[in-house]
Amino acid sequence: MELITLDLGTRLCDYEQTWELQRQIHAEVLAGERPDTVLLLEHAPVYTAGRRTNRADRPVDGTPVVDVDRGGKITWHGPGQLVAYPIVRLREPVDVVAYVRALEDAVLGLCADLGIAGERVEGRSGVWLPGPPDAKLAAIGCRVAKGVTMHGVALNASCDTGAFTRIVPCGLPGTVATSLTSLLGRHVGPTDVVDAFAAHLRTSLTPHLAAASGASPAAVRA
Amino acid sequence: MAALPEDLQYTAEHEWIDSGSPATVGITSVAAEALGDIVFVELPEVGASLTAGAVFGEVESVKSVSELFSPVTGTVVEVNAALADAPETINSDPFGEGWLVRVEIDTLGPVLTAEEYAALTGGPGA
Repeated sequence: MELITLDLGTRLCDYEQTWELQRQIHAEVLAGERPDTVLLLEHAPVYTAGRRTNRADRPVDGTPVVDVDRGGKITWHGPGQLVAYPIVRLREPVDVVAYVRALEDAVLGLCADLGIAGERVEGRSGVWLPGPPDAKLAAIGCRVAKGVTMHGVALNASCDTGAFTRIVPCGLPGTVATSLTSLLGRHVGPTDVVDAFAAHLRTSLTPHLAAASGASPAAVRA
Repeated sequence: MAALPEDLQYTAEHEWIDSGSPATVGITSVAAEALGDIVFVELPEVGASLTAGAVFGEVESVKSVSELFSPVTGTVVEVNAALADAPETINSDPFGEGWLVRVEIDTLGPVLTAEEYAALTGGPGA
């Protein structure tokens, strides 16, 4: 599995350009032209909405929203949020539940490293800090096409969670967003946790892949 | 997981098709279990042309969207409208009330028997 950081800490990636890159890599993984690949990056500020997003969940001020083909409803991406897009071929028969749980496991592993008591919440995906109100630390939204995944997980590291107050995050009223920085009381940015998170991703995803490679768990710089 | 009905045919992409005219298409219990709780299904409209092996719809579950692949080339003559309000029926009754579409078949794509599909998926046979 190849882990690629897209200028993390020095460049904010345009969402639609990165989505196109995902599609290109997806086609290459599907064709057997490249290994399973995980992109690790920060986005420029953007709201994205899965197709089940209700009108009432969208920003009330007319802020642009990119409609996407992943699962889930509406969320925000932006500076201080570590985004991981695994583009990997899953073992047959494809088990979507197990794959989503593996993404959660990677976040929970990082939480354990940092002394944060992250949890799963029954009936929801992602990683949460129990409330009230329940606070979401990481959001998940995926797509599986011909057994190869796209989109992935967004982990709030040092982002301003105020951006989430303009929407109903993931279509779940009464919930809020939190971050590693808020929970730990010190600045913890994407570059501070990317290598540890990449290692957890490799560990959690490998059992679910059609083929596993033995590369080093540290993220490759690109 | 539900036993696989012997009177159906199956695909490697986890769809099933019966021998009716028109033929009914759905997803298998293997797929329904692996997807988890289905919350949304997008299906073609009546009159749409399907191509064997091509995508004809999508299902969403546990924050993931997955594609549906047609086992046949043909024309959609009926869509299970009840799934719009109760997509979870696919989980609870994948071989019955959770059917997806009915199709007038032009050509049947590659299919498997229940025994062959069970061997492919490592699941229980009929």
